[in-house]
Amino acid sequence: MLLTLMGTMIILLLLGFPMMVPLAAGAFLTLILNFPNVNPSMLIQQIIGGVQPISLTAVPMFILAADIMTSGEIANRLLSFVVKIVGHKRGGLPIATATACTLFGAVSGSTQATVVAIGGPLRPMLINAGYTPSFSTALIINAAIIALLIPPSIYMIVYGVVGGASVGELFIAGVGPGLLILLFFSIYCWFISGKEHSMQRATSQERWQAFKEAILGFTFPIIIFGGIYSGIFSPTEAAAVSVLYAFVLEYFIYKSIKLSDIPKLALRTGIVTAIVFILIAVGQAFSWTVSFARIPNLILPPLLGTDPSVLRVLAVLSIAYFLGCMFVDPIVVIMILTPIFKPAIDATGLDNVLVGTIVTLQAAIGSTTPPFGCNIFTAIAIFKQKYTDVVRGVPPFVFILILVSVLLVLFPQIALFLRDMAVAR
Amino acid sequence: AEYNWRLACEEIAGSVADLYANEFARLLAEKSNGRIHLDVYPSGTLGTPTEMFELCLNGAIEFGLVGPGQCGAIVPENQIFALQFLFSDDDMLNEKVLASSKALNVDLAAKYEAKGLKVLSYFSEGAMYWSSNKPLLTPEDFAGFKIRVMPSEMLVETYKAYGANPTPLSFTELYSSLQLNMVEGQENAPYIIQEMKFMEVQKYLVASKHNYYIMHNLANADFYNGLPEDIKAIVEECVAELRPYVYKVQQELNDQRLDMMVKAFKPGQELLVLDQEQRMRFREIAKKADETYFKLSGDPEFAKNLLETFRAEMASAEKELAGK
Amino acid sequence: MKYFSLLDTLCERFERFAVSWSIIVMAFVAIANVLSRNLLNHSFTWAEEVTQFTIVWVTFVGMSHAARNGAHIRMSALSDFLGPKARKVLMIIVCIGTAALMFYLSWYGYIYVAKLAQIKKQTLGLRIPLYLIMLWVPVGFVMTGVQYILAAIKNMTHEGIYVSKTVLEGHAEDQESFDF
Ligand code: NA
Ligand code: NA
Repeated sequence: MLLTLMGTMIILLLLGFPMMVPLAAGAFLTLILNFPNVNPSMLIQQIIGGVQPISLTAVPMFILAADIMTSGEIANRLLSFVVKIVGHKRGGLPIATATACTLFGAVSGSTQATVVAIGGPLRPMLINAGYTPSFSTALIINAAIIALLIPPSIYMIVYGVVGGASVGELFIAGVGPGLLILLFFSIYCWFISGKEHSMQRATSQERWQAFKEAILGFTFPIIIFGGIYSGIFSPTEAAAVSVLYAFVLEYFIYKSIKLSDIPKLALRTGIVTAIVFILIAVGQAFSWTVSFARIPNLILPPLLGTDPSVLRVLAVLSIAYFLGCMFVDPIVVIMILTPIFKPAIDATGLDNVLVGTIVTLQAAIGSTTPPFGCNIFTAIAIFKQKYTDVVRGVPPFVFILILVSVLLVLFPQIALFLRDMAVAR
Repeated sequence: AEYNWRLACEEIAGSVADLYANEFARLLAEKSNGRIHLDVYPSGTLGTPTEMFELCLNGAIEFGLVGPGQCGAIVPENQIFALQFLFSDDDMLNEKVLASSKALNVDLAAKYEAKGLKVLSYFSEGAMYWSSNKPLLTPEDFAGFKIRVMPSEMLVETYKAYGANPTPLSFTELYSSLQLNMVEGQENAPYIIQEMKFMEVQKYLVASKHNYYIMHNLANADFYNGLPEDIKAIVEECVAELRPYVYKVQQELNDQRLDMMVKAFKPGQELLVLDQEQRMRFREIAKKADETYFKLSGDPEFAKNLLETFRAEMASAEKELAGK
Repeated sequence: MKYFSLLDTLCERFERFAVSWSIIVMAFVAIANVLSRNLLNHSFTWAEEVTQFTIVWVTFVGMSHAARNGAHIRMSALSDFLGPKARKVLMIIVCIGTAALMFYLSWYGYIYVAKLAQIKKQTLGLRIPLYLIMLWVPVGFVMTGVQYILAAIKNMTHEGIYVSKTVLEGHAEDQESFDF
């Protein structure tokens, strides 16, 4: 059964079928061959269900906001300020990109939206400064996933619910590893940058000028951050508010877009959204088939054995979530795998918050690791890059992410020290 | 096994419904001498509760444990369960009515049957409590109060009747919304409030018992009616034996979790209990939502009769109890 | 043939309308909801239902428009190693295979939607019959399937390797295919 599923998908993928075909065909074939009395229309239900969560609307909304800002003025003004401040330093531009992705991602809670909003305007600048397109794209999609470790994080909420861990504690625990990843990415950027990548140092007058032009753009993260943390709107709604803010700024203040531009921008946003959403949709049908056929229940128990050690549980768990998230939507992976691992976690007395943090990190890595992954798809759709080009730059980043996972398993305090400080009441 | 069946459960492993499901599987195997095998799929593995409901309806799975709120889109008459202060605050009494009510087990069950589903039983997972950052003892306390509700018009209308500002919000965003004060309170069974650690970010826990979290054990009707008589008898026997089991499990779990929460209270945190007089005041005002129920039921005449019958059944049970 | 291409043009117009206005409505509803909740203390219960409908349009009608523009994501790893003739044959197989799957999905989509109509499933607040919303799923699959058939025909009748009726392979990236 597992062979039917994997075999079909890999062959169709290699033949060059659109990515939705291998996912859908794998799911339907497995169902038809193994469960002849289940009507395949149930997979259509799952395909539709895959795009029903209202929280998904954050994706098109942030794309639209980003489109409005890039076709108008805000993005350019903001980025020209960033470049004037750090552009002359070694690795300055990519480090600024990684930091911007972390900040924006932390606020928006959506990695895809981060890829669009930050990657859109910054990628051309990186390429201009002499970085390869593959590196630039890989940097953006990998820096975007740091956001998943920094609150609010949808994966942590899901783990908290299914795995029975405190969502608040998970949020605090994610900050340490998140910042560690940013640090390592920055070091990597510093290493691969040479003098030729640096720009001329801007004068303080030029910097002041750039600051004044960008000031309204700076209020954007303040409004989004402030709005979410003061409870005025939810993270999902923040996406729509950012559309409103971008529109007000570009239309009323900078007068850089016309009303008649809006349908065109919306169409572009809609197509990019459709390309990503149809994959989320058929991906849902695929993962449903996996759980319906009880595939994880067949694989996992033998791996864990009886009375496993802490390290073995953590190792198997990390690998399982990582592999799962390479192919399937992380939320589904968390929901399917967590109940299977829960008895082992409880038996070994592992800190559930630590496990949740590790799981979130694995889910994050999986979403930038080929062959499948939302961030990869988004980058392809947005930057109109070839699959192979996007994937080529990814390995060093994935290596760093795996390194951090290993460190986290060996030194849980990376995640837990902030939590222990906060919970010591 | 001779019969291989599947059951999807809307709740996570270890919850009341999940324990029910596993006990159901155990009893079926035991009573049939291994002829029946039931696979249990807990929350999330087969999609959302609404999707599980449809899977059962279409025969992809044989049984489903889902709450009525999740299938209101298909059997809107079941929105009766969204009406507040319909049940008593005596759990034992509610259990008796759930088991014997003609309104639910005959009249409402017929509406399910018409869509292709057999209701095997209704059972309670426990009373709903309010958690909040201010005391909620009278309808007046709700004036302008921002309470999170599931996206359901029935709930919205009821809380509006109290004068509150009901805010539909997804469950996953609830913890952070309470923490950030986007909403000021919420309603759930004690074990869920404990599980989600809502009291970390709330001040008061109110034993309002304004509603009960009802589950039903549903079977695909074609599948069920097509079973041989002896197998059907086994299923019925198991379902009957599950009643006292799940009542006990539910009581123990909620009591234990409530106890855990109260013991963990920090200074200033408090458990409030509504007295009978306060309950009656809420009960009167909550009736304003009846009209919304009739309208949403799609069959107002039927809904009106159903509600009347059920209230009468409840009243006579309460009277009987008072007489003892 | 003339009527068919007129129909195709109408389809394209419809796709553009459905996709762009779905996004605009989605934004409008969400913004209005935030403002109303904070300023008027009132949440729209119907907001979620309208949003659900717009997502279905964006995803399934948008899928057809993306196919029309050769914008769907695919891995071209293997075909990069093949000669032009083999690549053309492979592309025809891919187009026909994809179209076949789309028609297959639309058939089961139809069955699913018919069932929704039969059990009279409605949205909870506005009480809109759900089949009216979900109808666009099988329709989207059919429209997408037609686009892949057109691409296969184009490959069979013209020089060059086409990923869609109008877009040559490898040109989906540099051609501003979303710009109209
Ligand atoms: Na985040
Ligand atoms: Na992946």
